[in-house]
Amino acid sequence: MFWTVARFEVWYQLRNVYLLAWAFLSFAVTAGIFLFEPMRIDPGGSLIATSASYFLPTFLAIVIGLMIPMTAILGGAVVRDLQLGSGELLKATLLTRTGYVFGRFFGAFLPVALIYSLHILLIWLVCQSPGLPADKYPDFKLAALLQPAAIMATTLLSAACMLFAVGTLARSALVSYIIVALLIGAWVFTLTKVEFGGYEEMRHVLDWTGFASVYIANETHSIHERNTELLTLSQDFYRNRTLWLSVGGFSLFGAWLLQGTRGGLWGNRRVDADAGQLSPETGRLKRYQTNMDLAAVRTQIWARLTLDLKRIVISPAFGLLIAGSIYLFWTFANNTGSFGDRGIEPVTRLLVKELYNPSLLFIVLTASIFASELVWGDTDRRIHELIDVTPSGTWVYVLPKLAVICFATMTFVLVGSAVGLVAQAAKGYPLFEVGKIALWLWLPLALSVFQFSALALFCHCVTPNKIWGWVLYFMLAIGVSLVADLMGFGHVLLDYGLIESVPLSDFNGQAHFWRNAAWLQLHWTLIACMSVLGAVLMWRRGVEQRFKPRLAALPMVLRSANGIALAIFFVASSASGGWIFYHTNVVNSFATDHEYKKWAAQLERDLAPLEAWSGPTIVAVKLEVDIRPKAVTATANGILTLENRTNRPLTQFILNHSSIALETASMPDARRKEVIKDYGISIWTFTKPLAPGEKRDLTFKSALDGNTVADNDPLTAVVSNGSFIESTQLVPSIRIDRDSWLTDLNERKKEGLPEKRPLPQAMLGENYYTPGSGWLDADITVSTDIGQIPVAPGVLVRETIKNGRVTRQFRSPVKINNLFAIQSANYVVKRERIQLDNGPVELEIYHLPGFTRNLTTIMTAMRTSLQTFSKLYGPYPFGVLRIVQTPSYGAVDIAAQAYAGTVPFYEDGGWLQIIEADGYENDLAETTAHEVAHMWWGHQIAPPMRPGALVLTEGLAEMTSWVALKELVSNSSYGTLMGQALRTYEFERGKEKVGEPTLATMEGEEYLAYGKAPLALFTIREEIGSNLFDAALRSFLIRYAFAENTLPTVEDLLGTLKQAAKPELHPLIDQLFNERVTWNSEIGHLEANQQKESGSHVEISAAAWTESLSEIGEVVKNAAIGRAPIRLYDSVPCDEEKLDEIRRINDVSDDEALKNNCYMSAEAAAFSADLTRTLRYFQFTLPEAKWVGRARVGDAEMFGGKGAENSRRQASAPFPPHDFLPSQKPK
Amino acid sequence: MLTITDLSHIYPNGVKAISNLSLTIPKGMFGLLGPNGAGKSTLMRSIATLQTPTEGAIQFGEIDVIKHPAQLRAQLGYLPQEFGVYPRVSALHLLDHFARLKGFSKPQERKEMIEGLLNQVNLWAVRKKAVASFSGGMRQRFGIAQALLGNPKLLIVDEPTAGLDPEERARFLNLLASLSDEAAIILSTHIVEDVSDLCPNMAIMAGGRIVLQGDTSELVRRLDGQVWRKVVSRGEVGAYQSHYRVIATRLFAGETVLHVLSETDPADGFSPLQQGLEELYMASILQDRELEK
Repeated sequence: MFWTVARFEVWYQLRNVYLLAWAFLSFAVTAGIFLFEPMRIDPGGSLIATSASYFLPTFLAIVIGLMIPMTAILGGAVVRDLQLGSGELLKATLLTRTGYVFGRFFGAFLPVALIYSLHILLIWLVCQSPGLPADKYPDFKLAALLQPAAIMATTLLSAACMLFAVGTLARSALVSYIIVALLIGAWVFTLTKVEFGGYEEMRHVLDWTGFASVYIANETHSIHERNTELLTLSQDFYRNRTLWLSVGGFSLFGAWLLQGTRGGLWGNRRVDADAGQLSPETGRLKRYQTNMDLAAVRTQIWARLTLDLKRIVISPAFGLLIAGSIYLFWTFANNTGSFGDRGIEPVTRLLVKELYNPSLLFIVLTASIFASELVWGDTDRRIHELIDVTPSGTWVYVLPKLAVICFATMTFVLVGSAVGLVAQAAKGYPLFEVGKIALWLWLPLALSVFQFSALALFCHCVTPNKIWGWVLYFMLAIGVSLVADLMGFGHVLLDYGLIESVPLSDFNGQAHFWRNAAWLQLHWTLIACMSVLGAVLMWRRGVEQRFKPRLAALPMVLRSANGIALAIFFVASSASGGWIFYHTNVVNSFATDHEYKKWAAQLERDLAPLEAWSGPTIVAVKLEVDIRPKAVTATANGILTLENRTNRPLTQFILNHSSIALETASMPDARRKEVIKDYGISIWTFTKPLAPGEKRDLTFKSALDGNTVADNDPLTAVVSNGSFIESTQLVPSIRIDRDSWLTDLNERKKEGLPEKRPLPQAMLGENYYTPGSGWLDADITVSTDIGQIPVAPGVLVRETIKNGRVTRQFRSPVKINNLFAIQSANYVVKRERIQLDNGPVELEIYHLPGFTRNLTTIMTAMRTSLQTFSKLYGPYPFGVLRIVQTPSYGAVDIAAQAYAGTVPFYEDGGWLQIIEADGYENDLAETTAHEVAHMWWGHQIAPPMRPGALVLTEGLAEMTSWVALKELVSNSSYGTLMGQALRTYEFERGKEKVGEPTLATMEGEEYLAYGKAPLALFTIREEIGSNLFDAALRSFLIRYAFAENTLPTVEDLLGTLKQAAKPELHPLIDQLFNERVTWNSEIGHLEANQQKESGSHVEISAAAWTESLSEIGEVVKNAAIGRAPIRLYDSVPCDEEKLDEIRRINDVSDDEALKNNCYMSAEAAAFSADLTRTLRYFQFTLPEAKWVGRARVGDAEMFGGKGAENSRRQASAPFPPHDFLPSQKPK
Repeated sequence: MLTITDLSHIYPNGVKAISNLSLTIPKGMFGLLGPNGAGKSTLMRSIATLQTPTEGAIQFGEIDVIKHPAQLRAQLGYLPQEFGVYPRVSALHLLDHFARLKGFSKPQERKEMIEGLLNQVNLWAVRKKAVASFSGGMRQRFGIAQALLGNPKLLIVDEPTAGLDPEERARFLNLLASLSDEAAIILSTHIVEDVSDLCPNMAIMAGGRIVLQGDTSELVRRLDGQVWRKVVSRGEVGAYQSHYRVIATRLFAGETVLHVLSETDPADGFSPLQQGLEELYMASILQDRELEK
């Protein structure tokens, strides 16, 4: 019977037009992913399309996509019999429950499995296509296709089993879909959100797709490994698959059991309620006449409202959605106290930021669920004829439904907020700021609720069935926006109701940015009103479901009050749309993505020749900035002193004002010759040539205005409290910059640009951060409203308060980079003065009142860092060091920035961070130390625009911050800091677009600057000794600090270090900076027998070697490591030092017990040997009887003994482990 | 009075459900008979404003039903052949819901009407039980109750007695009869007895057309002397069917009885039969089929 049922089911499902349509769509999309570049899944730009790493997410997407039809057909396979009544007929045959359940499952799953298999075939065929680019489609290996396909086939099977059980349990397509949506939602958040806070390991269990386990096991692979090798499958993966296939199996068994319960086909059927024996009653039949007055209409509306509300609120689907939303919102709200991997105070604005997008997503998705249920519910239940013959007007149908959809969707926003408040409380945040939540979250989302509810209602009203209702809704709600973005013509007027959250800050809340969003809210609300009227006009009544007849009747129904209202809303929405269009496209100079790329490509072509011009150099700046916080504007009057540092007279120069609103500019003996308006570039001619060594002043005026409407990227520099204006927003430059150039290789290729355009010789010597500028004499005056404190680089030389304005003048005691920031807010200042060798330094922390949580930590870190760096590397020259609280309106995931003597610390990362354990390194101290280090590395040393520049700034700042941290925090461990840097490097190198450069050739690669560079520098420091190393850096600074003519390069740094190092270390320095080398070690086995009289017999096999890698991580050369130490360890009772350490860390109550039970590792023996890639076998006898429980070679170590866990038997790192350093090798 | 003029309705798949149908229905009970697929339900739905006919006009008193359906709905009671209900909603609540939708805003009026109706259809004792859990007959009684809410001037009932036991059927027919003085009641049914017992006027539909309409008694009288019966063996039925206009083949006490239509005595052992509405109906259908050929 099993086969009979299965055969029928296969036949039945293969005739399912929706399944076939879905399969066709899935085939088309899959083929598109491989054939059509914009559709490519891009998990890492360097991945080739024929690698297992690329195929895995592809198959994952196919499985996730197939879950939609699977839900319908697997759920429907049994529900169908219950709903249609055919179950009783089947039960009357010889069919058994087992044959029925498993036959139905197998028969429904087989077509899905067939479609999945056809995808594999399709991909194979597509990859054979001769027209594909060879760089993305090199040698095709079948195994690379089949391995990920097999991995995801297990996911397909387990998901199918679960969906079958869900369908059997729920007996409702809607409930099944909701469960599937929650399953997918939970999975997304499992992958993306359970990332921090010690939950990483849970991903191996929670991820029902198994993808996370594969991803984690392959996360640190190089480009070469990701492209050429099959996926590494860890034990965690196998455990995950076993778990979820078992869950699938149990689900199937559960479905079998369910069929035997009440409600199942093989269970006891429900018995209809019966009137029983009733005594006939005559009962007077009262007759009243209908009177359709206002009260009647009110009664009708109330009747529909209460009934519709009950239908939604007490439905299992609503309960499920609420439960799911609680889980999902908790996941998000729980993330509120995180900044990257740091714990921060979960203030309400961060909570709102976390909740806004998920809430909007819930609104978008659930509006259609409820609309579909309410619009089609009467028809589905076949009660519509009874309802439709009542004298209810169309508004009686539409208004209550709209209200109920709004109520139901808004419920999720409120539930999310409640969950958020609980999450805040759980994290110890003491304030329930409901007022802020209402203003920042509920108010804008209430409008979104109305907008999407109205749209959903309209879509389900005009379409002839539910499916078309959903299709139309998704097209209008998401599809138009998505397609427009994909096709490169995205526009804010195409993003129905999808209004981004208004920027929030502790400085001003929403500040004036709400005005920017208000126009969009108004516009979409007007369109939503039109949708409601459309739903009224197109409401279907009776048995006619088709669209065409209703459309034909539209001209007639438009001749009504509803038609007039529609016309009014049409005019109003057109006007608001026109206003938004005007501001977006004209005032804010909008370009579509496609247009922008074309523009940027043309800009590069037009301006690239101008890069080669040698021009004057900016050597001084005098600036007067007038900030008007209430008006949200700022103006700057400035003078730039330009000097001819070339050896020939200059006749022209470039004035680059592309990133500022330049109002006027003038210069004696010079005139503007040409304006390239589209690019913000002017060509100026010296009417009297600028002679070598001559200086001349350029006077300019620029302005900032934050009052924008419908701006995608509103100006955040000037706000009513907390203005943060970077110099690049007010001061023009005199070189061409590459800020607007296209960087993505594919885009460059598409626009016909060369893959890379080398810098012209004239630019190579320019300052990396501020080309065209030398070290500046800076004199900056800032005025702002009284009550606020203006801040700029330099020492305060004058302050005046007049006419309600406060004006401060700052002058730097030394020259600074032409890169600084001007700030203004109602700060309070914490001050401290410290005495350094070269004089006193003022330490100042500018912060908002009330934000005092971390002042001591920051001040201590500032003080210690300054003392450490000035002692090791040279005097601190800026006289004052300020840390300034800065709003996060414009910054994304940045903790702080460093300018000369000034460090803007963004509010999220800096001021809310929770320091959990004093005495250990924390991110705040680390960030402070890093930024203070930039006062030497970046603001005294400035690299030129040559490769490796970031080694001199970020690399040195990061490495030297570790040194300061060691001084700052006694328990600080270099190992921990190095481990963080190593992770930064390893997780990112495989995602490189073109290949990994060396440290000496890197350009903007942050994973090298913050990851590998400090590791390489610290390795050298360890090897040549901290004193020699630090002295070398000091001499480097003496030579290059504030150097005007020759900016130091990475080669200069290496030269200095080599001078301090012994010659035998030079090859290592070169390897670290000029090559990609890994140091590897492995222990094959360890066996030690403790023999009391003749000593201990030890057997061990070990390997150690270096690998030179190509840009993509392919091994091009192996080399042996000579005299590699092999160390053996014994277990001995703890010495006093160890005991003290344990006592310090732990709360030890029984000291005697500690002494008796504490054991530590002690080196039992060590020897060295020349080791290679191949394991080398050693056996020997130690003269004394020792328990050799552990061995170590490089960073690889192994624990011996039966049943002992092997730990890190293989190790690999881009720097030599301590033991492999030349100085550590036994002589 | 309900007047239907040249009404036609063609479904999207091309099926012509009603074809140039004209009919006048006076106040009182009006029976509508017809085989399956005759177009009765389409006609009912068209009158009940649930679908707009492709062509034609429907006039109820002063109301142009097609142009102003809302006006008719205020005076309409309708019981479709099949209908569903909301889950987990009691008879009392659902009836109250329909009363509200029919515009009864005064709670006392609704209460009196609903209580009276629930008693009339014998559902008072189960008024608090969910209608979804009712048996077929009980659900049908609920449908009758909702159709009778208010004071409908036009009552359309499609197969109202299907599924009712004899006692409930009698109770319902009495109820309808009591309303017939005030309203036009269209009773669409397969049960010929219901029409003959209740309806002074009637029509027979077939193939989307009215094949016969008029005063019920008068129509039945028209067949006087034209219906004949004969007991035959089962094997002879085919031969008789080819020679006579057989309108019915019945089994009575184990014997096969043929009813044939003939204006003159067919002899051959046939004896005259006292015709009723059923014979009229069968004869009409036969004549219609013959015409179609």
